[in-house]
Amino acid sequence: MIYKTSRNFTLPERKPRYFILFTLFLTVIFASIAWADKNLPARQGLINDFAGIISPSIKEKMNLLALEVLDKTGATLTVVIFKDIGGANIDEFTNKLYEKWGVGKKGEDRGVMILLALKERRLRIEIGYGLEGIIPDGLAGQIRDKAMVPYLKKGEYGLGLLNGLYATASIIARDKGIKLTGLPSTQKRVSSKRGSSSYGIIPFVFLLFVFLFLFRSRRIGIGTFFLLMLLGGGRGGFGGSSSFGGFGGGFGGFGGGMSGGGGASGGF
Amino acid sequence: MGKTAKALVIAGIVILVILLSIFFSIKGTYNTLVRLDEGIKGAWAQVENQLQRRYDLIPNYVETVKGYARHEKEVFLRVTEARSKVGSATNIKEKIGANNELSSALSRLLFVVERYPDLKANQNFIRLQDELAGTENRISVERRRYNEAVKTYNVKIRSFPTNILAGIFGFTKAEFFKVAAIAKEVPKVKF
Repeated sequence: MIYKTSRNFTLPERKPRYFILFTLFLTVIFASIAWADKNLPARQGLINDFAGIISPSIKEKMNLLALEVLDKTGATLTVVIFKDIGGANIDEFTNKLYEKWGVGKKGEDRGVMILLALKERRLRIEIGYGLEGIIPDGLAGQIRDKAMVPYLKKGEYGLGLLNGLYATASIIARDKGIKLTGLPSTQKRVSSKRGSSSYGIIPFVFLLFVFLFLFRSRRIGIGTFFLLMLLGGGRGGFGGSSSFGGFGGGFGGFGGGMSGGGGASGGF
Repeated sequence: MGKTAKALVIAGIVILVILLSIFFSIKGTYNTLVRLDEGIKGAWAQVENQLQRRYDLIPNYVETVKGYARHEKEVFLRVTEARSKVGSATNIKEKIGANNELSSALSRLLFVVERYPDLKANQNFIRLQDELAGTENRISVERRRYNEAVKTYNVKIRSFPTNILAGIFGFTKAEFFKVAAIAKEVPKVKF
């Protein structure tokens, strides 16, 4: 018999490892389910062309412009294009996506999301809490009518979006007293892609190592089990790390910012 | 130490541990309830901000529409009356009711606006229309967040064993911001 009479709390020798690994496994599974929000896609970067209709040159221009604004003013401009949004209300859809991606820094909420739904033929410019002051709804409506809709009506989606992005960028730049050159001051960020999914796993890998280390001593008491339960219950704390991590661990434009539904929408 | 003394000490420690764990679990539950309750208050404050914003926007909007649609007296009157009711509402329930009434009066006004092409081409009106649509959207966003907060809280205070503590400390159910069916049509301003 392996049971040790002197320490009653010690569990049978081989079982706990499997049990604990199983718990750990479940924790990871549940954590990833909690992160994967229903129908909302993960972001690709600042410019997200899920419909695949923007030419690479225009996409690059938009990307550089958005990066420059992020660099110089700390405001996040993001563009999203969908083939269709399943007939959803574009206002509500955009707001939920905005919240899920966390456009802008948490608490500062300086972000703008320009979203196009091709099948629904609708457009939305969503303004984060932190930019409502400099881009009120009326002004967002002007960007829509003057900079975007004329192009979108003709099917020139890339130009319409670039123009709208430029109009928005210049309002933010003017507010900060900055001139836009079309190039971000630091080029190194351009090549970096999102890294959130791989960074999010780090805490779990770390935990795994901690437990493997603990098991070497072969004296896993009930305490370890409770510690594990505790950590399992506290997994919410790791969620935050997935919002950062892009762009080499720095603030990549998505840091948990929120929008209160300001902005303008319309058809084209 | 005799055997009985030893047993007494162990029993004492066990009782202490039990009491302590009861204390900490009550403390935890109570603090969670307080946090959720404060969350609702914060969410409601955001809702009220936006309702106030709409309240302030309406006179300007109505004046602009009046310039083009003088004859629609009945519609203007309804909006003005509903707006004054919102102004005099005091508690959350009254405010929700009055604002739903205002929403339905506004939807009637937006319907009327569709019949005046000159008005719809007016730049000042377009801006006001965007401000109103944006405010309606803000209201619905904050209303959704408020309702989510209320739901979390209500589920918490009704589930066992939290309901016992909620009863003792006087945490009561919070009011949802339900929208009347007609009011839902308001935010849809088409261009």
